Amino acid sequence: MAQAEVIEPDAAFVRRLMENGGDTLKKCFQCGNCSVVCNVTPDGAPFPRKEMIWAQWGLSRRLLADADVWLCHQCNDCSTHCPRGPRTRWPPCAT
Amino acid sequence: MAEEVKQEKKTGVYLCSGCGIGAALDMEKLRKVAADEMKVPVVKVHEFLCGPEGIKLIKDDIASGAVNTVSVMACSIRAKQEVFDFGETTLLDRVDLRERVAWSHEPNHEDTQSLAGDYARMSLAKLKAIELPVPFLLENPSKTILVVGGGITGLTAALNAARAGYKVELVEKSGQLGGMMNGLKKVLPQRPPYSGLVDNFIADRIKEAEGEPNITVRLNTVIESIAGGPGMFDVTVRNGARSQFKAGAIVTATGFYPYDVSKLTHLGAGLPDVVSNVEFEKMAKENALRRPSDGKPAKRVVFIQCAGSRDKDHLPYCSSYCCAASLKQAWYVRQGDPDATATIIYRDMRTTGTSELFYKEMQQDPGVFMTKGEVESVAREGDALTITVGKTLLGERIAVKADLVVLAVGMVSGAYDASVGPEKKESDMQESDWEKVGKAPTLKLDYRQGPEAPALADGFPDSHFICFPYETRRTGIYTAGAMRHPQDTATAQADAAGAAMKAIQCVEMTARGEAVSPRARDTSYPEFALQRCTQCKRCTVECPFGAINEDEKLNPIPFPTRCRRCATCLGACPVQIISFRNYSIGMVGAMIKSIEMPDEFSGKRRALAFVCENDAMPAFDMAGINRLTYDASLRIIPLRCMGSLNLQWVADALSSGWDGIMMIGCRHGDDYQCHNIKGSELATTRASKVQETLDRLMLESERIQVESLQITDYHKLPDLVNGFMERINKLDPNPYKGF
Repeated sequence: MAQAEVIEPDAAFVRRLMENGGDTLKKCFQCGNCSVVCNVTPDGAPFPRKEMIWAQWGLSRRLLADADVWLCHQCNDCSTHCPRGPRTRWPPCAT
Repeated sequence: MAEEVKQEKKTGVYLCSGCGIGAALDMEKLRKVAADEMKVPVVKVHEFLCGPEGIKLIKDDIASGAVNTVSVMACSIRAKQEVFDFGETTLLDRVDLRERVAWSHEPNHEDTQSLAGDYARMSLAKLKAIELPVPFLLENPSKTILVVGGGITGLTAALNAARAGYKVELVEKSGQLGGMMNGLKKVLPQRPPYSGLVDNFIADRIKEAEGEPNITVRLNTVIESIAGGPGMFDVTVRNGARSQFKAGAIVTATGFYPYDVSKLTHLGAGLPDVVSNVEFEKMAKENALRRPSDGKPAKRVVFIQCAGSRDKDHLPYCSSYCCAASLKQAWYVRQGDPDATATIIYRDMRTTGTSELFYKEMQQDPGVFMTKGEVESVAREGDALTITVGKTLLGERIAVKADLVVLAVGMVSGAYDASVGPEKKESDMQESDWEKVGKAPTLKLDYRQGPEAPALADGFPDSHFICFPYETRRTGIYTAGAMRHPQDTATAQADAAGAAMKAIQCVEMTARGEAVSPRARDTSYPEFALQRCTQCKRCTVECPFGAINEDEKLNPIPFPTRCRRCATCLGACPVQIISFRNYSIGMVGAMIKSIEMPDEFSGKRRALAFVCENDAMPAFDMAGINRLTYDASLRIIPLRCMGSLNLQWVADALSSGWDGIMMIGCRHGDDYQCHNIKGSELATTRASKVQETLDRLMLESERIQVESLQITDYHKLPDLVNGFMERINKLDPNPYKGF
């Protein structure tokens, strides 16, 4: 089997996101409601669920290279349907 | 023994015509069955028997001495028990004319009337055959409670019992109290808001127990043997010298063994810097979160959950504490060093109960990373460990680097020798396995059925997990804490209190000569006519509770205080020498023979159903309450347990002209519902041997049907009964009618 990519969680980057508006991002437990209700999410790589775990693990390189974030039209459906509290916002650092 | 006063039976029959009974039945005809046919001196009909006037009718007759034996023919025995309670000196039977007759059969039909008449005959035959039970009283019952194990569970159980006023003997095999909790740095949250860890409080608990005058602490002590039974346990312990004391009940709280981490080589066990959660806790307690290999600080710690749990090759079950424990240990990692990270790879984050709130708290920590995933490999490359994980929440296989890997292992019950317990179910054990268990049992019971309370699944001793928590299959021996099922310290304390209450209930009820559970307050017990015993050992083998020992000539030695009164022994005995004062071969035999059997030319058939009174009988009640109707040719005899079904009754029924017999018990198998563990299973086995009787009488095998039924299956009853009667109607009538 192919070599798995080595992931290096970055606590400092997570802390920066949390200090800059993404204070609730760690609350995500990856249920996937957000991707289900999103009107513009692509079928193959649904968001914003995957961005949430990248943010939780501090995977800055992936987040910065992520084009999906520009598809978001700020309808807020994902936040409305998030079971972990109304203060959870997508994008995590955009509120 | 209480003095026995034999007095003449003066029977009274009280018929209720309320709740639709009078509208469905001819009460006068029914009255005549009792008064004229059965010659009962006192027969009264009332339209509201459970009302104050109706009850007064009965109580006045009892008070005047006109009646001491009462048949209340009204509603189900499961209804109005407090109202129809006439004290311990009145022999009482209840006939269910409401749920099982009026509500479930065509009103004012001759078959319905005949059903009611037969139930009246059966009740009167039963009352003629039975006596008031006389409780089995010990001369000097002990109310001391023996607590085995001095960990958090044992200490809490001992303190609960002691503070309720009972003497406690607390036996601990090691030299110090506290058990596994002595090794914990911090303890999971114990009270609201359940978000922060608390300091280890075991030292306080130990001090409390040591200062409690009702508790005798015995350290470095092991049990050599326990003989006797509830209220009269003879406990022999050894602490250098041997000593003995009496106990009334036992709480076993022997805790757990962590699962053997060395078996988890597929998760890196054996590599440097791969440790178990128990080892990691010890490192944290010593403030040494350093790699064992080179002493460098462990900055990146990866926790692997379900290590050897929920795994058919290891422990098949979830230990329920490891997820919360790893979150606690992640807190140690993060507190020790703000730059350190804790990564948790789980299958499902199972933080049970309030520990979910602690999970939410820990999830907020920016240095705690979690993902679902399946660990593929743990390898050491250079001086770091690499964990490859598939099926992660990141949607791909990933690899993470670690300085230290913690394998979160589960709990093995401390009830048995760790090498034997969890691997084999009791039902699979051979004699040699018992010997193997016998090498290291804790209780060393002097019981014919083995030295330990048997386990039902995965090595955890149990009787009926849902219905009777803390109970084992040995009366008076209760289990608590992680040896009962895997659990954390908060649950263990609740368990300890529960088991202590059960032990207190046991010593008190035993002292009054009453059964503890599930037939609570029953004062009857089996008596053996030993001069006719053939030493076949079936009672000693089949008793689900190990209540009967054997002497060297294989004669049974009953221990009434161990007995739960299920009457499985009565059902097992091939020579019918076992009986209860109020439940016997003769009693059911008389009921079977009491009915008005239509002759073979009448076109009417009669079938008998032996039903378990715990599940199947309530199902018949439920069917009535829901006004479901079924064939009125069936008459029901409730049994204490299907295990008490004696084949003599089948022979009696067939030879007295019954056309068919149903046996309706509880579901058996792995997820059995039987209150007495094996009752319905034993009945099924016995029924398979009925063929012999059928052959002897030259009758068809379709005449007998075995079924299992739960209360919630009541809606299946009409099809079950009608289908059976259809098959019976196709057969010729039983040729033994009228013999």
